[in-house]
Amino acid sequence: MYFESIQQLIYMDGHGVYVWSAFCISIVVMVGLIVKPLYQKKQELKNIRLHIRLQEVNREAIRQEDSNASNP
Amino acid sequence: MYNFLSGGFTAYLYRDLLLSIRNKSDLVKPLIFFLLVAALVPLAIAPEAERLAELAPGIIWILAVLATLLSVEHLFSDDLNDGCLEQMLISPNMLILPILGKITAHWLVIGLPLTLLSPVIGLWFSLPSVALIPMILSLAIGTAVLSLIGAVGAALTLPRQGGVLLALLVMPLYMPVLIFGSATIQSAVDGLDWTAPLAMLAAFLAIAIALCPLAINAGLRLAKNG
Amino acid sequence: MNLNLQWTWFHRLGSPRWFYQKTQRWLPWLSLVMSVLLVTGLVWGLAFAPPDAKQGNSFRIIYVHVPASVVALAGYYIMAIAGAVGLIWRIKLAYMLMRSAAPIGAALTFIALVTGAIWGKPTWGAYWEWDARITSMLILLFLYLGVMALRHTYSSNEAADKASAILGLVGMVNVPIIYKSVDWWQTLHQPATIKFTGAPSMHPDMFMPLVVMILGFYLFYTVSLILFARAEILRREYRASWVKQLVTDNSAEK
Repeated sequence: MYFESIQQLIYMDGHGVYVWSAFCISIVVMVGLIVKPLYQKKQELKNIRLHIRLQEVNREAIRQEDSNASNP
Repeated sequence: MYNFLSGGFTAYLYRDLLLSIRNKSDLVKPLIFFLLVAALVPLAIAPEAERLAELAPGIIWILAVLATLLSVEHLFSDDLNDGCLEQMLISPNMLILPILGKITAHWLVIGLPLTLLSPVIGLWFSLPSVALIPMILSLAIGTAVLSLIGAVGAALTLPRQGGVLLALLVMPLYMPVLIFGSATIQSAVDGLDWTAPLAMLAAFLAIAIALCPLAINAGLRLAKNG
Repeated sequence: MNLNLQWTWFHRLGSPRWFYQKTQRWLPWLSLVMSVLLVTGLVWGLAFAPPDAKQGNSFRIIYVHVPASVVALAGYYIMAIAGAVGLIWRIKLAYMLMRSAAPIGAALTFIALVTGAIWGKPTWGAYWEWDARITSMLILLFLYLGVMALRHTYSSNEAADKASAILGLVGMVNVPIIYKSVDWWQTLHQPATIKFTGAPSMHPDMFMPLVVMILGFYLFYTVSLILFARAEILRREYRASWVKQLVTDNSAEK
């Protein structure tokens, strides 16, 4: 390693603030670019599940109405 | 035999000019804006001639950009609202000709007066007289490019207008024009060769005339059918 | 006979379902390679590479700044080309990829700008300096934001896609013009800035980790693009039977 100790790595002869803040901001944004679509996908799956359930409930309701109508 | 002039270019040129002349306020508003903001600059920055002369090329060009942005929004919206856009779209002529006709009318009504007014601004900013011709030439060519690019933005934002999106879309595309336009004036002031940046502006104009109508065509059809 | 087979291949390529299923298998591998490259590059660049003679350790910011800039610029072309493919061949998947590419590109441009500014402080003494690279990056950010903002003008997905594709193409034609103009504008004014050590003249000990990081960023872009595209596919194809099958399979597994 170029630096002699972990402390030197963090301090980097005074430039540490700049280097580490730059890297941290970048990492945060990049993690966001991975997490956000994963979260979106989960939301979409949830919505689709809901949509399917609603369709089934609707179908059930229509079937009920039909059987009620034919057997008064 | 297909005649360029009979394909709708002159028809729409005259039509838009007539509409603008009848609507005098639309004609005059961007020009008044141009003069007003130009008058604000010395108040905000400094009345000293040297400082103003330093800023002059850039300020004049930024004013031209803003004035064009303000005026280009309504290029197609009136036609959309009164049904003329549909007529244009179903006519057998290539849509490019009416589009170029309308943009030429827009330039004649906004860009050209701006160019003719610019010596006044030059006077206000103590622009050296050696830069007068370069300034007029750069504005004449440059505002035409601004009109063309602005029309692309106007066509793409046609379904929902409301200034800021148009500006956001069009500003990055305006930047090269701005760079070379003000560089023309600045080079003249500095005594350098000002025909080089002017040639770039002319090149931009050629590219814009060739490509912008295609994008506008697509945008207008999208707005009508989408 | 042959034409028929070729056409099927082409159309299969444009099927969202095919994309979704294929990427399901590719993602783990891509993510693995991406992580290895990024971690290796980071550790190498931060801890092992030598610092620059003039700039000292703040030079290390190059290991995020340059990859982010390179991929942000390439990403604009990817977005514009995806839009063009969608326009010309009417392939929905191409439009979905274009949609997904926009926020990633914008975020990377943002990273490039912020890291560039942070790098500027110890190097030139100022957080912002209107040099050719930063100015071009800023304009690129506006180009991305424009494409993202345009979608809300249109109520139908189809029209919004076409409009964004047109805008992307207009921007793509302009990007080299903008870069060259800003470059020229810079030489006109010749501020006293320290030039970044150009890539070829960099010492290999400093250059190699940069290459690793650039590759890692490209892979990161790919992974992120795939993830965004998968979510977009689900959002748009929710009525398709294969999606319903997928969801019921998922819930059955639970």
